[in-house]
Formats: sequence, structure tokens, C-alpha cells
Amino acid sequence: MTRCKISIGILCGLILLCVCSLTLMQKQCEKLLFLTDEIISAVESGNTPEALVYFDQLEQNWNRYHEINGIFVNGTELNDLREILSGLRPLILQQHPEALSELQKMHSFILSLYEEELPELWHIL
Amino acid sequence: MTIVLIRAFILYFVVMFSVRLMGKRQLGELQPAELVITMLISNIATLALEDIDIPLLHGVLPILALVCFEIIASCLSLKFVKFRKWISGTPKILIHHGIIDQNMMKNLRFSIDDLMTALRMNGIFHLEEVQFAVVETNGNVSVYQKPPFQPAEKQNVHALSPCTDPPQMIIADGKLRENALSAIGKTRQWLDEILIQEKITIPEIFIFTADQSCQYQLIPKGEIS
Repeated sequence: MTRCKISIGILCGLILLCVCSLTLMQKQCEKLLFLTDEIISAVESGNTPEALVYFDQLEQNWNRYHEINGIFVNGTELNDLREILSGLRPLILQQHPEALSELQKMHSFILSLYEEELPELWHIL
Repeated sequence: MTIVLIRAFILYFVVMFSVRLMGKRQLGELQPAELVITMLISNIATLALEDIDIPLLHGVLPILALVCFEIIASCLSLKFVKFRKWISGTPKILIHHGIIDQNMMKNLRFSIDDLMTALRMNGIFHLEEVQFAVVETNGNVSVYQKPPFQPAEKQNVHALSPCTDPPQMIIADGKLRENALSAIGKTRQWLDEILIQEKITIPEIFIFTADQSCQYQLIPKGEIS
């Protein structure tokens, strides 16, 4: 019976861990998405200095996100996102037309990172 | 490389903890559900070990979850007979009153060769010796022989001896095991008396066993017995 109680305890711990990781991911993804949206609107309006300020914030948040969510999220997905992020600064600086498409790609990547972790039927199956 | 080593170290403890949590039953005869869990654990652990892109948590979490499900299922099967039958199945009778149930053999996809192998593994080489044979839920075949073929026991030949516990290992490789001494109901004083009588000290002893009737066997270090 002790083993059964330990098992129930571990299961509760695992469920709690899953809920906490989802909440944490949601918070951090929302922050990243907000910053990405701000950069997109700054780039669209041609305001490069503002876009760079937001981009610095995005990088800082990304570093924090990467450290924590590396525990929960597959490494290849994070690497893909990191690759896009590393090429963005020169594109924004040059006001390159590809900057916008890269930013939108990044937006959808971040969104999918969180959404793929949601326990929805099509993700489970 | 270092990451793989550290992950292997962590996973080793997780798997060991899981196997210990499942209990000794897991190490002996496996029920169908337990076999599935064991195979799944080894596969999941391998995946998390090989691919460092997969977070370690993705390996640890399902292992712990599967073990917990298994333990909870076994606890439930202890309480609810129907659940136990569903999880483990029921023993099936293959030979009843010395007659083979051919329909049951078909149902179990059990060939006559399988049956003969199982009987031989039970030390039986003639079908007519078998009174009753059952396929247990873990796939083993238990056999009950007809009375004329059953081996004679001590009580059959009226050679009864008192019931005693087996001897305990009191000293192993020069180290005294106090709990073994108390298990046979003897004191340290009794042991000291024997050691004085044998003119030997504890560190010089390789094996010292004794039972409740004060029968003991002593093998000093360096002696080939």
C-alpha cells in the first residue's frame, strides 16, 4: 500500500509539473509574441531604432526562455528559432524586405512552440 | 559526450528507482502488463539517452508515469477481482482428470509440442502421469501428477523430523551479522564461547553459519573446504 501511495504522490507531482510548465511556457511565449508584434509594427512603419530596442528586449527574453524551456521543449525546435533570431538584427538594420517575413515566421514558430504543448486531441493523437 | 554521460547517470537512477518501486514481483515472474511496462521503460530510457535534443524530462516523465500506473493498477487488481481478471487474465485448465482439453489448447494456440515441452520442464515425460495441468496467467504451466506418480514425501514413509529454520550466516568474510545471530535466538556470549573453543577470532573467519539447534559450521580464511 505504501508503494501505491508513493505512486499516487509521484503522479500528482508529474501532473503539477505539466501544469506549471504549461503556465510558464504560456507566460514566456506571450511576452515573446508581444515583443515580436512590436518589432513587426516598428519595421512596417520604418522605425528602425524602435525596432532595435524591442529586438534587444526580445533577445534578453529569448535567453531567459531558452534556459528554462530547454527542460520542456525539444532542442531542435529551439535551435530553429535561435537560427531565425540570429539573422534578424542585420535584416532590421538594413531595412531588408525579408525582415518582415522572417519576423512573421518567428511569430508562428513561437506560437507553435506553445500550442504544440497544449493537451488537445489532435496533439495527443 | 559529457552530456550523454550525465544523462546516463541520471537515467540509471530513474530506471533503478522505477524497478525498485515496482517491487520484487517485477524481478521474478512477469505478468503480461508488467512485461509491457518493462519493455516500454527500456525503450523510453534508450531514446532519452541517445538523442540529446530530447529533453531528459521527456524520458523521465513517461517512465515514472508508466510505473505509477502499473503500481496503481496492481493495487486495484488486489481489491477488485474483475479488474484483476481484466488485467492479468485467468488461469486456463489444459488437462482435467487426465484428459486434455483440446478446445482450450486451440483457444490458447497451444500446440501439443508446447504442452509436452511444458510437461518435460516439470519433470514429466509421460502424459498419462498428469492428473491436472493449468496455464497460469504468466504463461507458465503448473502440473499436478496422478497419485501413483507423485514422489514420496517424508510423511509417507513416517520419517518426520522437527521443523527448523535453515542455518543463518552469522559471520561472513570476517564481519559479524548481529541480526542473523538474533534471528536464531543466540547471544553474542554464545558466539564468543564457540570462538574461544575454536581458538579463532571474528576477523579470521571466512564463513560461520549456525542454526537454532546450535549446529554450526566454521570455515577460517584461507582454508579450502
